[in-house]
Amino acid sequence: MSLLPGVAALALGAAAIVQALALAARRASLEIAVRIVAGLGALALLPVLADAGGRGLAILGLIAALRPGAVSCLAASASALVLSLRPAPAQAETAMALMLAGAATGVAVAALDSSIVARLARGGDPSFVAAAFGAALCGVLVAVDHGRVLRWSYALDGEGPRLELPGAGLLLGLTLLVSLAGTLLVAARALAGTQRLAAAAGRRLLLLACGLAALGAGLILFEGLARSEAALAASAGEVAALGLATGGLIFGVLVMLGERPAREFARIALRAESETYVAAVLALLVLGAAGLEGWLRAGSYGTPEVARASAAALLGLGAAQPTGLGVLRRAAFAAGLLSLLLRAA
Amino acid sequence: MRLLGSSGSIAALSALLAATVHPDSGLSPRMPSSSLVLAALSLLLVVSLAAAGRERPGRRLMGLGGAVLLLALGYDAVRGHAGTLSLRPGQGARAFEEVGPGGPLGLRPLGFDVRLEEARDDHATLSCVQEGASMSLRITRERAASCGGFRFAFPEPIASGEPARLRIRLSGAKGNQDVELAPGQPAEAQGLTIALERYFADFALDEKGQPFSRSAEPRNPAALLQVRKGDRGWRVFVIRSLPGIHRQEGLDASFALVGIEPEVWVRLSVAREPAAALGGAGLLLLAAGLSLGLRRP
Repeated sequence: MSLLPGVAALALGAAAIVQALALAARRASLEIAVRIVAGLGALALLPVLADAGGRGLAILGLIAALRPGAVSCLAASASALVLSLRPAPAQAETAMALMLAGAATGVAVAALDSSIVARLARGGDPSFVAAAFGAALCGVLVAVDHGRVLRWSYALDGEGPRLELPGAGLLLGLTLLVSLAGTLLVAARALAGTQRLAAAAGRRLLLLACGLAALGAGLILFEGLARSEAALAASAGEVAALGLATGGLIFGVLVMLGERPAREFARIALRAESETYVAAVLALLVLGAAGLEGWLRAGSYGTPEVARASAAALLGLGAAQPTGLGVLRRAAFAAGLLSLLLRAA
Repeated sequence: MRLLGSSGSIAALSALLAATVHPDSGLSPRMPSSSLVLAALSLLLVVSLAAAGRERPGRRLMGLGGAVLLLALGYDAVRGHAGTLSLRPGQGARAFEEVGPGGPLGLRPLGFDVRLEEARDDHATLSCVQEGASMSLRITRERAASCGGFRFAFPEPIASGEPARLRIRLSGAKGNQDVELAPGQPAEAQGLTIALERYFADFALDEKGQPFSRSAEPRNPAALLQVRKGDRGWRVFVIRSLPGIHRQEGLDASFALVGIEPEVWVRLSVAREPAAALGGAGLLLLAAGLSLGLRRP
């Protein structure tokens, strides 16, 4: 495990939670602390710039520190966690494309942050944010370890034998049940205005899910570091996704329980739109760079990296359209770019 | 047409196309006629961009960029080529093995001569003779090289299944003697003439008891030798895992296969994408059109 990226992951994760608290409690003074902590996290990522495979993730962290938002700090924290558990390769087949992808991802998650804040400032129901992140956590829990969480089992799958973590399997299975129930109740309240008792139960279940998910992720990290760092490194992407989803749910619950942000909706919405456009243009440049690097290295632009970059660029084109479901489209765009970076790391 | 040019249609088509194009989504291999579906979705998206209203500047430029990009991709899909070329050091060729979406398509002429001059662990050197002029191409795993519109990349050593040289240990009346044997080049030792008749890189017997080679890798090498002494001749079987297993009556020597130098070929990937530059231009137009729609906060 690498120390500096680990420190960066902790710092950026803390910055994300403090930013969520600042948003929920309408305490602008906390944002200064967010900038300081996020800046420290970005400084810890600077040495990673030397490795071509991790450069994109380091640039993501730097942008998150310059424009700290809860979701952008969470994404940067998850990326730093991957770098900490599995050091990035010194060489990368699409080095230039990865650097541009890091910049595009940083701007795309900043746009997602702005979209969420704009929606809340306009009077949108904060329960939707919590329900969306709750659904994302459920999705991650079903996907990790090929769905074995559904059988109350979880293991780290490396090159050697699987490292079974029965305690984590139990915790994650429970988290899945609790978060699913909470998400459904909160979503029902947001869509249909159900009974107050049911809505309160949903909030409490999501709060419980936050704790259980954090415990589960912490247990996986602790046991993995103690018993097999190699197995943990091989599952770094899964662990980071779990951390990201957990952090996202914590953010969603804080926003749901907090006050509506008192910000100028129109200005923030325009900022979200501009950031989305910039990220979409950068995503097109990522596609161009990946194609050029493929042509130079492999003699052809028809490589899997170009196909992934094409998908991300298309999601960017869709995210930049002034139409409904803006937050969802921007989330898909950011996820597409982030998966591009994590795959190369 | 208004519906097709709406922002909602563009967003929906972009998302559908992204899901289809992404190699990890698993959608493309499962779809029947996936290339046609891709082409249709791409065309619809370009038409949507072109049909967009005037509410956002740069939309028509995006449409033009998308059209140019789609045209370039379509041209390369139809007139482009991809495949492999396998050569041993010193060997030349005028054609490569073309591969299409459905599998191998056979030999396609390059239109010029290429010869593999050198093959090392980290690079291969190809000489390319085109219109009387010869040029040397150095190809590594990090950098491809061009000749005559074709790109050569990824030099990869592959086992041909044939030996460059075999080392046979002859145990006869005059003691042990090692002999180097190359295909088509008989060797003399202790009054015997030894030639290689047949080689099996990965020897096995089929259900009829006939010998064959399971693979081109020298996992279980064996050989059939022709041994002559004066007017008499014998066929001797040698296998590395069982030295001296086969003794012939009248032949007062035993043979063992002690070493193999496999013949290594180099396989290169070959590609031709004549509209690649046009595609890049289309992409730049698309990016320019998108950036024109940017409004400062």
